[in-house]
Amino acid sequence: MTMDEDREILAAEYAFGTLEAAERVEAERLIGSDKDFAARVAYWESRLLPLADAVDGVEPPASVWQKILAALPGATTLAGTPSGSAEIVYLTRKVKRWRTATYIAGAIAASLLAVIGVRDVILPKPDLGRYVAVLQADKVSPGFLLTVDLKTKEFTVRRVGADQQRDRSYELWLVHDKFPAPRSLGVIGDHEFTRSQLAAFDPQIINEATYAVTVEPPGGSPTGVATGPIVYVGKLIEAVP
Amino acid sequence: MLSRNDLNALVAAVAQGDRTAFEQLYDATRAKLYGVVLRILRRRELADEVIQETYLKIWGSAASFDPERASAVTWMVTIARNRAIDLVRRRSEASLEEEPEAMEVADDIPNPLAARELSEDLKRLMTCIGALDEDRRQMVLLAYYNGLSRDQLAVKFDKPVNTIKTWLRRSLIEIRNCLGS
Repeated sequence: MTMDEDREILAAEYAFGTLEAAERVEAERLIGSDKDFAARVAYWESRLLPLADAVDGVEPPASVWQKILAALPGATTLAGTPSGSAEIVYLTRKVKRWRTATYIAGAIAASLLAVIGVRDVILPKPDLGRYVAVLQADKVSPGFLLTVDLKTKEFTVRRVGADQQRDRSYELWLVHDKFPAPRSLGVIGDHEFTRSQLAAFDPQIINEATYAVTVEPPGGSPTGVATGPIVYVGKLIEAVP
Repeated sequence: MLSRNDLNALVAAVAQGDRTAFEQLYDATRAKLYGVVLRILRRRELADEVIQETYLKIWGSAASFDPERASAVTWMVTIARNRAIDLVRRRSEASLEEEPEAMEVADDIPNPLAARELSEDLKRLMTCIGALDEDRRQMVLLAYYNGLSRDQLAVKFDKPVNTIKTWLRRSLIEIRNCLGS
């Protein structure tokens, strides 16, 4: 024995999990400061592990993975790691395709309006599928990608070209002329995330709305009304699977 | 189930910031980790929280994972169990009496010998645990599977905490001597 029996028991009990909170803190301190002790804890952890094989696996809900993804530092995929740059190339390609589609859809809509000559065209009911909006500053500067699933009314936002904000927050708004003021869909940050705040809106409204991103004080507009400049804006188009 | 080497390779890729590898690692291990923490926490909302924290910790510290010291699964299960136990300790000290149901499921211990695959390591460990007296074998398995503290074990076995302390001490030494260090 290279260490006294008490230490050995402390290491074993830490690995088993029988220590009280204060003793666990003490054991953790020792793991950080005493290599021999850390090695004994590692010994017990690896020896006990086979017991975990007997535990029946249980599937966690899908929302757990969504939350893990949302909490990952978003900059990682965009920081130029090999997988990150591959992803960017892929996204850029997608954005180009979507941008062309937006342009064509816009042109068709404009010419239809010109022919019919009315503003209130009755649009066919939107299919309950996936839609995407490229929120952009100008024709060549996409800031965020917004994906909407009309079936679940969940939306996902992914930062593409928008700069990281240090002391300000980006906030996403739904703009529709049925509402006197834009409706906040929450602060969007560096991480891709999925939310269900669209649940309150009619699919027709979700489909027709304009989505805008403003720059707000940290944590979002304190008043619930957009206060900062609109930096990115876009409309949904159907995502071709 | 992925092999030990596959999992080690995935953790190495995760250390490089590879999200695809991270998702594969999650897919390969989530049910096991969730099963382990759910037994200890008994509540799904707590298990959800601990699993999120666990995988974020895995993501953040994959670079410090050392395959020479432990397998990827040991490393991951250990992170998950420690988080779960820290959480129940904090909660039970505040409100053990308010949560009587926390003691209820305790009799239901998985039978390690019924595991689908009895690895050599598990056979050896169970031989050593099996050599203990019946009470102590139960105590050791309850401690591991359900994350019971000495105080909770004392309630469960209706013995003074000091007796439990002695039982644990002797049992652990016997197990270690049987396994060999």
